[in-house]
Amino acid sequence: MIKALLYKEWIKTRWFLLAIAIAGLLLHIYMFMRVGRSIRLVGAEHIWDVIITRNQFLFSELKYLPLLSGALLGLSQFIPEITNRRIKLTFHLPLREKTITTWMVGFGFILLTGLFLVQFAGLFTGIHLLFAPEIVSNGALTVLPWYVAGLWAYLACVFVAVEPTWRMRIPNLLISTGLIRILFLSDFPAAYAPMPVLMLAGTILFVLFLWLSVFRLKVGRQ
Amino acid sequence: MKIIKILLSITTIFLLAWVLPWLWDIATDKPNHYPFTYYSSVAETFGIRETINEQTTLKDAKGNTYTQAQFDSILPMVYFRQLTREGNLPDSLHGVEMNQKIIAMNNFYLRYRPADKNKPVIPLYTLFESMPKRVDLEMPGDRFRLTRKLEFVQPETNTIDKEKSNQFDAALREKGFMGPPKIVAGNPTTRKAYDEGYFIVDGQNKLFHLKMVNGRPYVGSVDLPEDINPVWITVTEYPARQFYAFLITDEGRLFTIFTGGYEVKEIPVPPFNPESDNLLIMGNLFYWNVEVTSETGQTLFAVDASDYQLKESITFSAPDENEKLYSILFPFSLRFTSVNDEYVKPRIEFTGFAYLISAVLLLLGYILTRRYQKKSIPFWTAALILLTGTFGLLASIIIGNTEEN
Repeated sequence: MIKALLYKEWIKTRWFLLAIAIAGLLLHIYMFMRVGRSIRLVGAEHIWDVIITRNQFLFSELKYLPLLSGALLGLSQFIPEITNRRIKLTFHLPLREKTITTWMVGFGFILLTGLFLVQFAGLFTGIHLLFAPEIVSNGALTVLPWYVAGLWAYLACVFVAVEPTWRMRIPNLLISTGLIRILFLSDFPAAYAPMPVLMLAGTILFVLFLWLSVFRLKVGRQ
Repeated sequence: MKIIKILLSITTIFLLAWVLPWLWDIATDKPNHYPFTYYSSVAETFGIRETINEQTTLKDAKGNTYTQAQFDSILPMVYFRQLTREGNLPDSLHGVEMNQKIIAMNNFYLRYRPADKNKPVIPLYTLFESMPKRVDLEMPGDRFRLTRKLEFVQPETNTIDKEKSNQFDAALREKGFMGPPKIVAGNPTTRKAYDEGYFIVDGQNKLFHLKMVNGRPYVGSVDLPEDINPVWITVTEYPARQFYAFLITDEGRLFTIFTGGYEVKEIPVPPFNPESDNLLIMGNLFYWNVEVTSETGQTLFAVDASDYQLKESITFSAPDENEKLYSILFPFSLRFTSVNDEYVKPRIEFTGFAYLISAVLLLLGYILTRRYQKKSIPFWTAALILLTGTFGLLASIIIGNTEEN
């Protein structure tokens, strides 16, 4: 039964996942080509200097990629479900709603996290080859909120889409937007260094909130 | 589910505590200008230039008013270019010979903002050759890191220059340096007249001076007063070469490190708060104008540059902000960024208990409305309205009360 459920999730999302993965790959290739070009043109020392003394982050094109990826995956997975309230049919399967939702959200969340980890690993192998560890860890802290925003965007899609009434969908959307906005308040590299624990807490909050939407759908709020 | 609903309510309240005070600020922010003030070495009082509604007044702290030409002449250290052009610059003052060049060479500006200190840094530093063969400073082709050990990293290959690293590390250790350092201060730019390298405070509050001279390490050890804890150093590299650096302690005391012998002298101004106050020192041949700007106002101290005595001070209070309505409406505010640092983190600021006026009224209104609708009064919603006033009520309107799932 769960295998069939996951297969359904796969059919809904596969083309979108492919699109997200390809977009990410192309962007990373582009960013490294550009950094490579800069190093060839002005020399590594100057590039290091720009990063260290002028607080420039060389991979800032990455900023909204995880956010868009998360939102796209969430929408591709849950828009079909809420059209004509199809998810209600899913809930008629001989499985508990909790189990079904956990598998559905888990599917998307784990695939997205996996994709992000692959991108993260690629980016950091590249940066590590070109720059000192101090610059690598600074870069990691710089992109961390962007990736967390991607995960939040995915969870927010579920939180908003699964909610059965428009009366609550709009507040849910506003709250999600507000929370995600916090992750884009500063472009200063590593500005979010004091925030990792709160980012984790925020992720847990989103999971709890979407649970509320699932519950409201289950009890049939109109 | 009830706990989740309460969590959602609290989250909404925090988001409102972030957005509403922000909107309030946008609607009510006023400019906060202090007059330009500078100690006159001629009139021996503060010259003040104030512009209100595009009307400029020129006066001094004793109440005399001036024309522009008179004002120029009492502040020759500021307007020396204008005075020179008009042929009105005196050739000496207090027995000190002066001309445009001498004044320009001795004038300096030092600016410190708390955000200079409180920001994420990448701890890799450029050590220039202090005695370059050419006139201009050149990038050295490496950067050093200083933790327990000093290491030079070469950007072109991303590898460590072991020989140079060992040589400089040994020189630092020989003088008693114990890493990791607390402060590594220098100016990593080639756009300066000369290079004085780095001033480094180690884990035991000992101060060292590190330079590269003819490719070899030079390490000086500076004796600091026993009881101070430095938090910030600015290496000056000013044309007059009178001092190496300014040092700020955690208590906001201000010290100068002089060239030739590393004499450390305290600037006789009251301590300021290095976490929230801005500092500007405008120095000249005769006086240092030490300007401290805090939330409550701006104070300018005139310090005699020859004997380091505090001469006079003048304070301008910040304009009174009418925050009464604000503190009644909002019990607290949440902000994530600050002008005093470059970090993003939650900062909650309580406004006091005046908000209880609105909170109690709102709660009463809420209870009456619920009674009128013949509905029960949800405990958590009522508690949140009492605790957070406007925010709590708005949250309950936006997402419903805590009993509704």
